[in-house]
Parts: sequence; structure tokens; C-alpha cells
Amino acid sequence: MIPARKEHVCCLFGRVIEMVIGVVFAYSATIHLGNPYLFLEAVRRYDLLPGSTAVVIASWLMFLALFVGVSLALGLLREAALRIVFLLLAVFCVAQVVTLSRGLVIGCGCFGVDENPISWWTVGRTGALWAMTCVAIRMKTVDRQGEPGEGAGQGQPSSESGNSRTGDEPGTGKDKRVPALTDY
Amino acid sequence: MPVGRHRGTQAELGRRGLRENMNKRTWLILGCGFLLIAAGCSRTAEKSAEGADLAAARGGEVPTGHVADHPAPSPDADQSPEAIARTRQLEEYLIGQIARTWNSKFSIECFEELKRDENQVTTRHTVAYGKSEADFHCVTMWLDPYNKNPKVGEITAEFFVANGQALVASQTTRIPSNYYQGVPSIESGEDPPYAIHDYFRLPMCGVFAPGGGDRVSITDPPGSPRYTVEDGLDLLSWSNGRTEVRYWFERGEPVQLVRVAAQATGERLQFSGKYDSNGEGVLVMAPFEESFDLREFQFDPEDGRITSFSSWYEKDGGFHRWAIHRISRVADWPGLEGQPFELTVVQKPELDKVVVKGSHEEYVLRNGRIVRLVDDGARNELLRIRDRYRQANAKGTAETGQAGSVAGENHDIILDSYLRKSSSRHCGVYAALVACESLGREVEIETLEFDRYVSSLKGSSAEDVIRLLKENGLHGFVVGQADGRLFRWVNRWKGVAILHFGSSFQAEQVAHWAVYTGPAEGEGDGDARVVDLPRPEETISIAELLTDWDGTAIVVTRQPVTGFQRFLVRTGAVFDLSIASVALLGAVMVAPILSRKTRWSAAGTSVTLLVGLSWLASQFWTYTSPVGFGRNPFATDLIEARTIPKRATERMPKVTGIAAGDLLIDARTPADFHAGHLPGAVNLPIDFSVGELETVLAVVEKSGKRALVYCSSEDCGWASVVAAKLKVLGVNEVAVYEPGVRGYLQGMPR
Repeated sequence: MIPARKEHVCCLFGRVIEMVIGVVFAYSATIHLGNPYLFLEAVRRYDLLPGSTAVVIASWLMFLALFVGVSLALGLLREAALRIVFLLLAVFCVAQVVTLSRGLVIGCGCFGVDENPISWWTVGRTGALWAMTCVAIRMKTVDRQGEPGEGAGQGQPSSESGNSRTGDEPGTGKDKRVPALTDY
Repeated sequence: MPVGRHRGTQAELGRRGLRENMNKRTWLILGCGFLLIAAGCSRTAEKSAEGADLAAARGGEVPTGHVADHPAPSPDADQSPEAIARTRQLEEYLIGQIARTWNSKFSIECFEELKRDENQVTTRHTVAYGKSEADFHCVTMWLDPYNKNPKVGEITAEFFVANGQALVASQTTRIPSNYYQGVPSIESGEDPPYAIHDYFRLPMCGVFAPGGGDRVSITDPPGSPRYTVEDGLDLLSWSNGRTEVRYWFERGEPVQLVRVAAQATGERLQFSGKYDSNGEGVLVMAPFEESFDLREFQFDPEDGRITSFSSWYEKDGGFHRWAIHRISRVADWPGLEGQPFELTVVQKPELDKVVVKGSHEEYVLRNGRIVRLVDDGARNELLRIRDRYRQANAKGTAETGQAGSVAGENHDIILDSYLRKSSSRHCGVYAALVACESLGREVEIETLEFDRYVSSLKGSSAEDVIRLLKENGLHGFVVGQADGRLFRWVNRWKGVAILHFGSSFQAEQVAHWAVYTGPAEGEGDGDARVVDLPRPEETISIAELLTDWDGTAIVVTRQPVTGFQRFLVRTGAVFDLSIASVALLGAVMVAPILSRKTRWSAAGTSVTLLVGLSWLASQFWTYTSPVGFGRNPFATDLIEARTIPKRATERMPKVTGIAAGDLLIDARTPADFHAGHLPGAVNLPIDFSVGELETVLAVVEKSGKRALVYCSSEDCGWASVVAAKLKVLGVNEVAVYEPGVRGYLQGMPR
């Protein structure tokens, strides 16, 4: 059981982290969409994907980052977006470490053209974002622990859960509740 | 001034033994003469040595061109019957051979005395072709190889004969004064009277060996002050198919400025200087290396033109062929025909400048060496563009300020394209002037002080460009990290954008300005009109533009742009974000329904939705957006070629022989290529520009032959990289010629 005050702080903290991550991803995606060829070149320079695959992945990554970023920033489909971000950042982190170990001097392709080559600082930055994502996921878990159906009964609905919009009354003890829109 | 060193022609090399023997004989005669009658007999001995050379030449033997074997030309002409006969023969030879070589309208003029002042060309008198006075001292040849173009002045070649066989030559080019208004001196900051001449002179001193042979040697004069040039420029330049040449500056080592010689002779010679970079991305013409002291010309007797020439060098007591230069006609050299040129020298204790007017090339010299190419001939194109815009404006077709569309008209590929790897220092000024002209602001280009708007050695900053725009009544502001969305706003405001092509850390250092003048009319919505001097305005796809544009731009408009409008430009991504938000809201609405029906977990459904939505959006964008990957395969191939992995290059097939019909591609730098390349090769440097690539791809496609890429030697990896890039770009039959230039030359007969 989590005290309501602590739960509230956790939820707020997690939400802030989500928004930060969302803005970062959305910003990065819009830069890439503005000049997709620079992003394609960045993806190609990692030398991890063959030519045609790199084209497909590059175009998909731009939009995935855009949707994930917007969803986190707006608070829509947050849990799913966090899971995707968790996975993406892990892949980015590994790719950068591999690049460093291979001695390639390339940019990370994160935010357009004005970039320095990949370094441990870049890896650390990605790692920090990944850690923030972990924290946000943990906060989300904490948030869900306080929800009805988890046995708490006394938990208040979180400010962004929006359960009221689904028509479910909290604390009614329904076993199969309809998930809230923003709970996904 | 360097005195001539040991030189000769190719055939001479094969007769080194004979020559050595001849030297011995000369010395023997000289020695005997000294013992018999001190000074008088030594002169006789020298003449006999010369006679041996000339006799060899008349008998079909190739003259030696051995400077040291010839006496110094005497200011007093030898009037002996033998000398006069030799002079006649020489004259006939010169008239016949040079006239055939130039194949141009000409007349022959004679002087009774040698003059080396500026009025020389005005005091000539003409004699009929093939005739001259027996005791002539000078033959002046006037020709206008571009006589179809009234803009071009005349070129005068002078041949000064002394002592019967020694001959000194110079050339003078005169440009009509009404054609070109001089450019103020850049380095001196003033316009000294001597800075602008309407002619230049290329002195050539040496010895012509007359006779029926195919080769003539011209060598340095033995230090006579009579042959120095007063103008401060002491550039030796000559080539006419029978000559062995050297170029030099008075206080420096020999350098090459073959382009000038090429224009003078009406033939195109490839650059044969050796270039290097000074680290600022600026071209440096390095002095001729000590070892490069020999050149051999191959001549086509049918039409009297040079077909190729080779450079040889002396090393370890032997001569080696270093490079083979293929030569084409002026007509094959785009942009050259019809362009006058002029050299101007501004002398300063430590800094000189040479201006080649007409083509507007400017070189800065330090201590007699050319250290910087200041300008690259963009101004002519600017004047043409100005005329076109003004004509369009006069016709009232310029309502949008974007008149004079030449969509598709000038899409011929020329080297030095907008993606070129070297840039003019004045590109920012040119870009601003193009913007002014396209927006209806008339600028007096001829009187503009370009250097006021060039604040660094690398060129103009954005601040410089904006200042120039403001002084001409336009408004400009800088946008950083911009992208393709910028063009929408520029089009809406009926303005233009000056784009900066900078280099990321991976690429070669490039800093260049070019102008986006608007969308292509009648083309797809993904095409843009771009002016990048000296190229004419051209239509290219925005996708190609995006592959090199670094995102910095100066938006130029007639009316001032409000702060809110600037904000809109800088937040062009709002549209993308809005679309994404709407799509997400739709997904949120659908998610509960899907979750109920498919019994997925809520999060699983959402993940699937996000991934699927982004996938659909990316595919939609790829095939429908004007800049989508699917609609611009060339741009994506270009990116792929640019990022070719090393392992792909190592897999390229390698060959050690050249088969008949192979298309040779030289992967070295343009400077190295122009200094000499394998016969028939085309240049595609490892850091090729789009223009260079398209040129070569067109050649490959047209020839249908196997492409064989080479570089300097088998240790050089550039050939593999270029071959791999070509493979990516659709050239199926491509291989690496592993021996490279070095291996090729080692396998050649000597």
C-alpha cells in the first residue's frame, strides 16, 4: 500500500519525466523529418544496416520517434510509448557503444547536423535518457499499484489517469474494469 | 630567374649516348681551338656544335634542345649568308607549323628592331604570309582564334631571332577596353594605375631548332637581361605542339599556368601544375617540382594539332615518364571559347596578385609563388544572370520576382557544380547579388567593391551578406537548423533563400553559399531552381539539395518580415506535430475497442498501435512526399554511396590489366587528374560532387563499357571506394585497376 501523498508525488514526477522524454523525442523527430537525408546518412554511417534496410528503418524511426514523443508529451498511450522509448534508447545506447568500440568517428544523428562525434558523453546522454525512462516506467507502476482492482481500494485516481472519463467509479470493486484511455 | 637546366624531348632520351658523344666532340674541338687560337677558334668550335644539332634536325633527327650546348643569343644578329638562310628556314618553319597548329586566321608581321614596350604591337607593319625580310629580327604573329566573337581581343606572338638560330618569343594579348571594366585591386585597397592593363605578356625565351622534324625545343635564355620583363610578371609560357616549355615567375621557382597558354594557342591543355591545399580549402598552385623538367608533345600531322603530351622526370640518372596529358580543342572546353583573359600584376614587397580578367581568375602570389586562387570566374555568369533577370523584368514577366526561369534549360552538367568541394571566396557576394537581381534590385556589379563584404579568408559571413542585401533595399534574416519546410515560406513571401553548404565533421571542409530562387515552374513540387555561380540557374530536386545543405539559410525578401513570421519559419515542425497529435488521438479512440475485441493487453494494443501507425505514416511519407525516400532514389543512392562501408570496398573485383574498350575512371583529386592521367580516363574523385558524379555516370551509361577505376598505386584505396560507390549507384560492370598510375607507367616502354 502506498500512501496517497507519496503516490501523488510519484505520479507527478513520472509525468514530468515523460514530458521531458516526449519533448526530446518529438524535437528530434521533427528535425529529422525536415531533412530526412541527413538522418538517413547518420543511420547509414553506423554501418549496422544494409542499404535498403537502412532506408526503411530511417524513415520508420523518424515517425516512430514523432508519435512516441507526441504521445508522451500529450499524455496519450503513455505506457506503450514508454515501453517503446525504453527499447529504442537501449538500442541507441548499444549502437553507440558498438560504434565507439569499432573506432568509427561519426555523429550520433540525434539532433540534426550540428553534432560532435559519438563519444562517451553521447553514450552517457543516451544512457541518462534511458535511466529516466526506467524511472518513468517505475513511477507508472507505482501509479497503477494505487488503482482499483489492485486491492488498494483507498487509492485515489491519479490526476492524469482520467478514469472518470470511462464511466468507471473508483472503488466499486469490479474485477474486469474497462481500461482508461490514457492507461495504455 | 632560373637558368635552363638539362632538358630534351622523348626521342632525345633514346639518343643520350649520341648526345654525350657529341658533347665530348664539342669539348674536344673547343679544347683544340683553345690551344690553337685562343678566343676566335672557340667561337668556331661552338658553331660547329650547333651545326651538328641542326644537321641532325634537318635529316629527320630530333633536335636535342640541350640548352647548355647552345650559345647565348647575341643581341647582334649574324648577317652571314649561312645565318640568313637559317633564319629563312626558321621563319618558314614557324609560319608553317604554328599556323597549322593554331589553324586560325592570322597575319605575319615583321619588325625592324626589337622593342619591348607597350607600344610594340601598335608599330608593326604587315607583310604577306610566307614572306619576310631576310634580316628580320622579330616575327609577330597576330591571330584571333575566337574571331567569331567580337568581344575577344587579339593575341600577338612575337619571335625574336638572334644569331641565326636562337629565338626569343613572347605573346601579348589585347582586350578591347570597352569590354571589361577593371576590378579594383583587392590586396592594395586602391586602384593603382598599373593594376589594370589591357594586355598581358607571356615571354618565352629559347631556341627553336628549325628543320623538318616534329619537335622543336625552346629553352631558357642564358641569363641575358634583355629577356627579362619589366612588368613584374615573369611568366614563361608556351606550347604549340613542337615545344618544350617551362613557366616561371621571376623571383620564384617554375610554376605552370597552362590555361593561359592554352587560350593563347587555341588549344586546350590540361592543367599540368601540381596543386596542393593550404588547409583552408583554397587552391594552391605549387611550384613545379625540380624533377619535372621535360615534356614531350605528340602531334597529329593530319590536322596540325597537339593530341597529347607527356611529362618526364629525371631520377637516378635516367628519365621516366610521369604523366600523359590528353589535349582537346578549345571547343571541347565549355566556357572557354569567347572568353578573353588578362593578367594584371600588383607588386608589393611581400604580396603580389595576378588577376586573369575576363575569366576573373585571381591569384595571390607570395614570394613569386601562387599561393591562393582568389576567384574562380563566377562573375561572368553573374553578369549573364543579371542580364536575363533584367530582360525578364523589362518584359513584365517578373511579377513574382522570380522571373527568368530556366527550368531544365541549363541542366547540363558542368564541373564546379553547386555541390563542388571547393568554393570561391566571393560566393557569398555572388549569392547576394543573385538575390538582388532576382528580386528586382539592380546592382552595379562592375563597380561593387567585393571585398567590403568578405570579412574572412574563407569568404563572406551571413552578416556580410545581409549587409550587402540591406544596402540594396532588401531584407534578410538568418535561419539556422532549417529544413525543406523553409522553402514553403520563402515561396509564400515571394522571396529567395541563400543557402549555406557547410560541412559536417565527417565531410571535407566546405563553406559555400548558393541561392534558392524559387520552385521550378512546370516541374514537380519537389524541384527547386538554384543558382550557384559560375553555373547558370538550374533545376534540381529538393531532395538532392537536402543531401548537402547544412540547414543554415538567409531568407531574403522585399518587405520586412515580422517577428511572428520569423517564428513560423523557425517552427516549421508545428505542422508535423499537429498531424501526429491528431493521429494519436484517433489511435486512443480505437485502442479500447481493439483491446476488447482481440483480448490483447491494454499496453500491448497500444504498442501495436503506435508501431503500426508510425509504420503506415512512414510508408505514406516515403511514397507521397516530394522529398520522400521512395520518390528520390538518386538522393538515397547518393547517401548510400557516400557512406559506403569499408568491407564493401574490399570486395570489389580487381584486375591488373586494361582491356580494349574499358572505360578508365581516375579516382584521384582533380588536381592530380589534370596533372596527368591515363589515356582516355575521366575523373571521379573520391569526394565527388553531384555534378562530377552525373557527368561520369552519363559517360559510363553512354559507353556501355566496363568501368575500370584506378588511383595512384595499388596501395591507394580510393579506387576501391569509388568503384564500390559506382556499384551502389547502378554501374554493374565495374572493377578496380589495381596497379594504378604508378603500375601503368612502370609497364610503359621507356
